[in-house]
Formats: sequence, C-alpha cells, structure tokens
Amino acid sequence: MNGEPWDDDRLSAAFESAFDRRPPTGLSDRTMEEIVRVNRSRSRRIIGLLAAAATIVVGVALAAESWQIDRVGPGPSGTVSGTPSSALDSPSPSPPTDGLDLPVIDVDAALAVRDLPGHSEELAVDGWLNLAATRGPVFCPFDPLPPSPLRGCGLEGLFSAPAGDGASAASFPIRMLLVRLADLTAEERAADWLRVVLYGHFDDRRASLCGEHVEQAAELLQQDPVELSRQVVRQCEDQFVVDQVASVDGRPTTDHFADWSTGTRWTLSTATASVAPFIGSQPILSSTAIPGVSIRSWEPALAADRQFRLENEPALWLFAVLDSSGQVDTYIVVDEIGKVFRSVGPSFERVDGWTDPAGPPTFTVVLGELSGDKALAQIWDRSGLMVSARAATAEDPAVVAPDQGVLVRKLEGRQNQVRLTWRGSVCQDYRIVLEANAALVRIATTPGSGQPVVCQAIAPQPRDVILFLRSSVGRVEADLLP
Amino acid sequence: MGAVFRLSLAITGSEVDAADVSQDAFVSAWRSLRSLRDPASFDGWLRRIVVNRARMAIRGRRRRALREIPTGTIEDVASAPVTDAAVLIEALDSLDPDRRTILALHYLEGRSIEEMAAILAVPPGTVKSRLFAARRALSDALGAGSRSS
Repeated sequence: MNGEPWDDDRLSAAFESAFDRRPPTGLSDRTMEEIVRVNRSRSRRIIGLLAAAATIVVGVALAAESWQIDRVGPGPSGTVSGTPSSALDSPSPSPPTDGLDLPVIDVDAALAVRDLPGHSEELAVDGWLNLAATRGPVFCPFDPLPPSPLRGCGLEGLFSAPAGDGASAASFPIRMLLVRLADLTAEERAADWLRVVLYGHFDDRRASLCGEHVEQAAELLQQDPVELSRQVVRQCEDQFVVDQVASVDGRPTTDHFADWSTGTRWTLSTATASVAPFIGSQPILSSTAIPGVSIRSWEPALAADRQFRLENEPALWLFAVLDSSGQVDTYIVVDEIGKVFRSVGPSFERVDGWTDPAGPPTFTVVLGELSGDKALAQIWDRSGLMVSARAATAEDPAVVAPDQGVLVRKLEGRQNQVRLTWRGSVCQDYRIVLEANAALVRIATTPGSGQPVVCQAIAPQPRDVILFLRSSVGRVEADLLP
Repeated sequence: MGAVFRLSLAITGSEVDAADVSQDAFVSAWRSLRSLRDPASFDGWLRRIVVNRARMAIRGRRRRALREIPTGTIEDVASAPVTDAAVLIEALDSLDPDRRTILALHYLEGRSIEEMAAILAVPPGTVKSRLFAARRALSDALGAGSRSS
C-alpha cells in the first residue's frame, strides 16, 4: 500500500477495485424464476396491472442495469419479457380474498411497497399481532387522548411470524384508528400472538402530523426531543393505518364497527343510510362513532377547521370507504343532523349539498338561580338564523306541565323571537338544536345525562329560553326529546 | 444486475447477502411496479429498494451472528500484497451500514447529492452532513488500518 493520502480519486479507485465483482452464476436465472413464482401467486387483477407495465419495466430495467445477456447464458431479456405473458395466459390459483378483490400479501411484500414512492393504495396484509404487548401499560406519544390498546398504539406492529425467545421477524408499525379486534374467542384473547389479515394503507394523509406532539411526549418520557424524533416520528410516519381487520385466525370477521362515543342519538343503520347516497356501491371497510370533541385524534386537520366546527358536535360517525381507485376515503356524518363530509387529500369537503351558516356555532344560557353560573342550556344553531339567546326574565304566563314537553311560541309583535318553555330537572343540562328551511324552524330540546341523585329529588323547575333570530320566521315546531 | 450486485456488496460486505439482496430487490421492484408512476425515475427507485433490502439483510445477519469469509479474500494472507481495496474493505467493515451506504453511493456509483437524497429519502442537506461524517469515519478507519498493517 502506498503512503499517498486517501483523496477522492484514490477512494473511488479503491471502491471500484474492491467491489468489481460479477454476480454469482445463475443469480439472474434464479431471480427470474422467483419473479415467475411471485406472479403465479398473485391475483389476476394485480397480474393484469403488471402485464400492462411489463414492457416498461423490462425496457427500463435493461437500460438502467445493463443486464449482461451474454454473461448469464439463455437470454434473460427474452425470459423477462416472455414470462409475464405466459404467466398471464396460464390458469393460476388466487390467494384468499373476501370479495374486495384485494390480493393478500405478506409482511415482507408490504414492506417493499412501503419503501416505494407514492404507495397509499389499499393493501391486504397477512401477518401476526402481538397481543401480549397490549396487556401492559401503553403510551401513545402522538395521541392527545388517553391511550387505549384497542386504538392501536399498544399494538406495536404486524409481524411476518410470531417472534420471541430470541427469534425475530420482519414487521412494521400499525395504527388501528377506526377499527378494533372484534369477535375474538376466549382462546384468541388469551393468546400472545394472533394471525390476522388487515386491510390498510401506508403513506396516510395524516403522517405529516406525526411530529406535532413530540415535545410534549419527550417531556412526559423525560427524553431528548431530537432523539425521540429520530426514534418514533419516523415510526409514526411509516405506520400502516388499518382500515379493517378482515380475518382472525383464518376466519373472516363480520363486525367492523367500533363505538367510541359517549352517546349517539342515531343507530349505526341510520348513520349508514345517511352516508349511503354519497358512496354508492363502494364498500365500507369499517365505521366508528366518536364524541365530536375527539375529532382531532382521528382527523387533526378538522380540529382546527373553523368552517366545519365538528369539535362542537356531540357525536360523529366515521366511515372508511374503499373508492374505485383503490384508495380509502373517510366520510363523516354528524349524529342526529346528517351533515356529510368527505376527505379530500388532507382536508374535507361537505358533500350533502348544504352550506354551513356563518357566525358562532353555539349559544349558552344560564337557566334560573338554582343553576348558579352553570349554563344549563346549550344551543346548536344549524339554521344560521340565531343572533343570541337568553333566559326569559319576565314571568311566563304559560307554565307547562312536565309531561307536556316543550312549548314554543313566537312572541306577539316580535316575530324574530321564539320562546321555548318546558320543565326539567334542576341540575340537568339541555341541548337545543335549531334547524330551518324556507318554511319551517324545527327545534329539538334534549336533556343531558348524569345528574346527581340529589337533583333528581327536587321537583322539575320551569325552563324558559328566548331565541333571538335575524328575521321573522314562518312556522316553528319544537320537541322535547326523551 | 451487475450494478445492483456491486452496490449490495459494498453495503453488506458479503457476497452471499449481496446476491440475496439483488434478487429480493428485483422481485420487490417487480411486485411493486404499479407504484412506479414515472418510469424515468426507475433507477433511483430501484436503488432505494436495494439500500433498504441491504439494511434489512445486515440486521438479519446480526441476528444470525454469522461471519462470512469472502471468497475473494481466501488467499495466502501472508504472501498477498496489501492493496488499497483490501484496506478499504477492512475499514468499511468497521463502519455502520448507513455510512457504508452513503460512501458506496458516492464513491462506487458516483451519485450526486440530489440523487442520494432521492434514494435515501432525506433532504440534500442531510446527505451532505451524513457524507461528511461518513468520510471522516472512513478516514479514521483507514488510518487505524494503516497503522495496524
């Protein structure tokens, strides 16, 4: 070895000399055989896509790699271009699918897809979940809500095989947003490892938000934010967002609804009927119901959206829908109201043809001295008509009995004011929803839940609220819902 | 195939692993071809697969705790002249996979900063800093190798 300095020229020459090796004999042939085997194990749909692209890749691969035909004997270029066509022509067994026409791939193949640019299409991946990891305390560094194993951060990933006792397996992190593990037998719940087929996707539109809470997480974990970013932000960005647990232990699942709400007024079938006109025949992969205030956990972009104000809604229904291009759209339905939103890239659009009113979304009213300063009436204005609301100060001549529901009147000479009167528990809060069209103002008054026993012992008190509207209104209806 | 094999070899340092990586990379590329929206970017796209597969192979090799003796070095060590290539291989063996990767892309393949940024999916500035650190580590390792030889 000479004593010259290791400059770039010398290093380049050394690299060239050190790694100027030919591939082992037969490597190209073995590679082609593997490609043929892979093709035969894939669904006809994917093979069709590959066939359409075969000419491109072979041409580009040959040009890019200077494939040495004379080195490896029987013409690999002919083999490359000919084999996919023959594979297409021959009958080939299809992997199991559940009718959605998604080929089931293994964890290694999914990892290969993840490592490619532009890879947000829906995948069906066969692998193993480590249920044992969900039984200890878990921490969700990017989730402002309390951690829950069923929400996914306790599930560290999908593995190609059960790992443990020194063994290891390929894996990738997963996140189960709208889904849960349902229909498990007692044996399956007790097992450490569970074989599943998951529908989901990489490159989720929310991945750019992975680092948002890293400083908060670092403080909680007493770690350096920079180091934590390196460790977990990348893992978050790479996570596989699960849209459905399609099968458990080889058994197709049927329950794809996860209820995280604290009180929806609609049933799942009602909410599904509301979204049905907008999705047509596209399949719903999973659905969930959540409190509106938690929308930031599922759709962070909507939390800051002042236009839609979904955080103010008591409950929302979320649907993951597989569209015709193989991507998953999220639809959001507002409980009891039926507004429908659809994800468009990182944001959402309203698709039900209505427009949201401008102005503040809610009004609060303090009802009577017994309630102190607590606002016992929350008013949601869907009509765009309201400008304010307050408790009536003048004594109401028309006091309703408890079983008479709510009395609604337009005040004499003041056609832009609507007075609501009912009787209710002294502590109980009420939700008033105001909707309107050209001919009708509809008001639904709903009592909240969870009042102390002592409040229930006191006789119902008069409730009297005046709604101030922008203009006079036509017919007005009101209901006191149970 | 030759270029993919050489890059795999430079990263993994093992002919057996390099052959596996090359085959896996082509099969993965074939499987995922529908994700390639711009055929003109095939070269960098394939290199990214190779790099990722090579890293996975190194992780797997650590688990297997095997050490391969490259066929190219099975010689009479005492009588063989110490070449730059041999010193380089020994020095690279002491570097981590990420540094071997960026050095191989730069010195073996002659990739530009922008090309390496695309392959490694990091900003160009990160490539520069990583390349600087890798060069310094290699220089240290080469110095140590020279002193021991």
